[in-house]
Formats: sequence, C-alpha cells, structure tokens
Amino acid sequence: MATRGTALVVIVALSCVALSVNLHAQGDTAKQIKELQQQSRDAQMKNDASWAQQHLADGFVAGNSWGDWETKDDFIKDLENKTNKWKSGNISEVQVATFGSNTAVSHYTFTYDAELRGTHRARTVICSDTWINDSGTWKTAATHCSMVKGK
Amino acid sequence: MWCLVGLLSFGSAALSQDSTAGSGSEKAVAALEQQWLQSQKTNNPDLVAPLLADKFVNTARDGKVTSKAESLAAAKATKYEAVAYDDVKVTAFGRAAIATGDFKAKGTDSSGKPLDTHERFTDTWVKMPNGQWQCVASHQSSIEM
Repeated sequence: MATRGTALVVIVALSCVALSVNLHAQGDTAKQIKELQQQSRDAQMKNDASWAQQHLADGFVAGNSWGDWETKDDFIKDLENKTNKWKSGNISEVQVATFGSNTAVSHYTFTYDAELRGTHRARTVICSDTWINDSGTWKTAATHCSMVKGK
Repeated sequence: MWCLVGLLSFGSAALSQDSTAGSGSEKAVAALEQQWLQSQKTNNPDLVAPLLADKFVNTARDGKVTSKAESLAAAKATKYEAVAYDDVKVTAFGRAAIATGDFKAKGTDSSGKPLDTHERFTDTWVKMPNGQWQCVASHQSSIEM
C-alpha cells in the first residue's frame, strides 16, 4: 500500500513538473514572438530586407489591407524598393496564442503612415501573423491585415 | 542504452513523418476548406463547428475580432444565397498549414443587412495532438476596387 502511495505522489509530482515546464515554455514562446514581432516592424520601417530573408519562411504569404497577395520575394522586393518610405509605424495590443511547441499566432494593431508603391497610406490595421518554429528559428509563415481606419 | 536507442528511433520517426507529411497535409486541409464552403452554401454551421479549434479567433474585413462561439453565432445568423471560393492554395509547414483564397458571397449578414462581398482570406490550420486538423485563426480583408 505504501508503495502505491509513493508511486501516486511521484506521478502527481512529475505531472506538476511537466505542467509547469509546459506553461513556462508557452510563456517563453509568447515573449519571444512579441519581441520578434517588434523586430519585424522595426526592420520594415528601416527597409531592412536581411531580417525578412532570415525570418520569413519559404512559402510565406502576406495579405495586405488593400487586398493584394505578396510572396516572400514580393515582400523583400518591396523592402528593397527605395521609393517606399515609412514616416511612422507603431504596433500595439500584441497577443500571442501558442499551439504545441512549433506554431504560434499573433494578433496586433499596426498604425502607420507611409508612401507605398506611389500611394500614400496612413491607416490603422489589425493583423494576424502565423509563426512556425523551423529547426529552432521562429519564422513568419503568413501575415494578413485588414484596415480599421484611415485611408 | 536501449532507452537512448529507443528515443533516437522515436525522434527519427517523428522527423520523417513531419518531412513527408507535405502533400497529404495540404490535401487534408484543402478538403476541410471545401467542408467550410459547403457549410456556407447550405447555411449549416454544424458542418464548420468541428473544424474550429477552441482557441479559434476570426478577424473580419472590418477588423472585428470574434471567438469560436461568436463566429458560430454569426454564421448561424448569416443567410447566404451564393458563395464561392476561388484560387484556394494550401501550404503545409510541418504540423501547421496556411490556406489562402478569394471569397465571394451574396445574401444577408448576421445583422440582417444585405451582404455582397469580395474578400481575401488567410486561414491558419494546426494538426492537433489527436491527429485532426483544426483552424486556429481566420483573417479576411476587402479587395479595394
């Protein structure tokens, strides 16, 4: 009977440790994604294509708030296009949901003022980004934004 | 030692399953997108309910964010007369997949107003521990004319 009791205590203790490790890992992932989300926007503001090269997954797709699709190559070309100029850009209300150890979805608000492909866009959009863990590196598989206000 | 060998075998099997899942995963998710379309064509939200994860979040073209329960309630109140998906593409990333496409619909929206919309959508699917694919996020935007 004592052996069964000991076994039960050990099982409960191990379950608690496993649960604690899992919750800790989820928290770490959410924190990491929030930091990457900010880095992503900082890189966009600076037209830094190297960040996108490293952190956009092959097969990446972007759905922008005016209804166009962009592939990874299109997105990088846009970053390299010197006529695209960012006056301001601020992300807020970032929320991250994790699904297992290799997938996360972030939702956030992005307010920006920019000249993009010859069109002035000053707007607030709400976005959903899907992140996948590719051999230890978190990469964006998809982003999609819709306009909340602005032009 | 045997424990180590066992763990290495298990790791190798898991990795090989992931790397070969590609086209099978894409076909599975494409079929679920068709089931979603069917639920809209028949105005039957019961068909889409099992496809949505408990943590599902929908972001509509106007930026309105809704949970699974709210999305299903809206689906129940919406009456479609015509619905079509076009250019649906699915890309698998291990246990996640992204489906994109065009959505055209006519009918009456959840508030009873006439609905005539042309949107683009991105759906994020995750293969759950029970092996079922479920949609964890859907995002739509209007196409500017």
